Amino acid sequence: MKTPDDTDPTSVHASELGCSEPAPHSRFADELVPHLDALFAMAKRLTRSTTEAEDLVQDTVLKAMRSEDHYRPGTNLKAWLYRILTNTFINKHRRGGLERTVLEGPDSDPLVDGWVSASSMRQLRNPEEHALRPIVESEVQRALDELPTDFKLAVILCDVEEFTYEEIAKIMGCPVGTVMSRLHRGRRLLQRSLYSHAVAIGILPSEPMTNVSEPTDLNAFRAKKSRGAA
Amino acid sequence: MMTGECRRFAQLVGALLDGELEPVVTLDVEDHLVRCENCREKMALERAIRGSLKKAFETPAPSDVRARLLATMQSASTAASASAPPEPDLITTERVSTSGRLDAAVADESQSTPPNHSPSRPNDSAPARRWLQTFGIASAAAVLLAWMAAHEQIGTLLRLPSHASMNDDAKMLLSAHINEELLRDFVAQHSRPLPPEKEDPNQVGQFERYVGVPVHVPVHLTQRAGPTHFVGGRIVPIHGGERAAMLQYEVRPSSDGGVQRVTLFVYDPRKMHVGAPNLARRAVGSTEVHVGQTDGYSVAVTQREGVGYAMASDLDPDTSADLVAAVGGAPTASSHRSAESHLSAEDTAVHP
Repeated sequence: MKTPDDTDPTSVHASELGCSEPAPHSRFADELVPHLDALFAMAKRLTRSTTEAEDLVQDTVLKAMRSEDHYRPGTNLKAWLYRILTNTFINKHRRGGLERTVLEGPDSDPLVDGWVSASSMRQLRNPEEHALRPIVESEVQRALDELPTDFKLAVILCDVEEFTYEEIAKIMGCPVGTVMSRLHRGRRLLQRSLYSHAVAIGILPSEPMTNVSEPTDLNAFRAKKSRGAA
Repeated sequence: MMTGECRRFAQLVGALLDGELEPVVTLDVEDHLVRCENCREKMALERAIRGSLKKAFETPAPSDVRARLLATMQSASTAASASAPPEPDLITTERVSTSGRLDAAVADESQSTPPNHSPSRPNDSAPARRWLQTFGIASAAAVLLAWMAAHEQIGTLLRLPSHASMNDDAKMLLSAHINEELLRDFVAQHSRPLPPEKEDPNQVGQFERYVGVPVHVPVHLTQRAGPTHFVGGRIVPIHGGERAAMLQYEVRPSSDGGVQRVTLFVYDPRKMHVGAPNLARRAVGSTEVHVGQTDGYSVAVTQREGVGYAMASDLDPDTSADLVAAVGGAPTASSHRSAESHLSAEDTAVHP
């Protein structure tokens, strides 16, 4: 659908607008410079490759400069740039837009459905520093990288770049409700990843999926049963 | 004690942290949080995860990548401007000039690199690019530090007692922490400002319909701080679903030419109680002002005629207090329209 020289980089479909002249002066380019680092960080997370990330940012920035007319001054330039980056990425790497299906397993939320106790949740973070314990923190990056693209995008745009839901909807080209759903599910996947990792390396006890623990023998089972479910 | 409610609130907690909840729903969520230790811990964990996510994105682009990108942009814009006629300056005189930043960035790169450093990529088949040097670290690092400081504070969790039940004292503690969080939100917005959306003070006055109180835009802050000018304004969402107007100024306090940013936030004090326990109360004339430091920045908070003002800057406490106290009385671009805007505020719908 989208031709390589589509002139409106913010629309996914071919644009009827015809202007493809380069920006008349370099001041617009100046405005783009402060966003390079953030754009690169996003591109790196999307492409998982430094060289591809650089290509993606270069394409984005050149498109932005060619399309200065499509940017309304005073509106959120960063959101506009991110829209171009997202579209460019989709066009390069995915045929049919963002993934629609996600394999998630049972629809459960470990941190809420009673798997994980409050004290375990506290264990994952460092109460004095109000951050995750370093050994868990490094897992965050990996967990994020493994998220499906549309969840990854939503989480980064919201939690890192702090766009509003409306802005994220425009950047991703979907309704606000979809943004909220992707955010919620993406965050849930992240949390579950962290929880599994913490259990795997022994920071957290492995809490069973129900509130009743495995009996080791029949007597223990009977004893437990007579105590009743907690 | 976990109830079935917790599942329902799980998604709302995320939206609360995003600042996207309507006030009424926020109250429901906060009510549940007061009673539920598990959800408090979950919220704290979510905040910690976000803090770590932000940290994961802090690394700036490698210097050679930056160099190549800047070179590409430079040649693209040079080629463009060589072929086009000069365009009239459409930007108002209020705007801060950003011209030359790309040139400066490229020039910075030329300052100080070992001669053997080549920016070209391995296996790069593109035509030879202009030789550029490592981007100056100092300014990038300063911005990064300020940003980290602001965001570590945003990742701060509510410090709540771990008892499952909360009495009134604890509830007040909860709301006091939320007040402080609002102030820290403002400081974070000042520290890492979004670009203004309107540069015309008259148009900024129209933010009233989102903020819920009159938004007077002082054209100049008091002269004691040196010459000031208004850069622009925008709306910012605040945790809990509210919105404040963010007015950005630049101040030149001394003649050595250093420019300081001052950000003034205008909000509805009935909906948002902004303050912190460490602020000192003082009187400036007949106005009561709270001043102090929050997250490394100077803050001053006051109310005047039912409008709340919070100012963040690097100025000393005396100047901050004077500036924010003077805001209500300073001549503004829209002061002659204040009567009209009061009327229209009542006529229009309150919440978008």
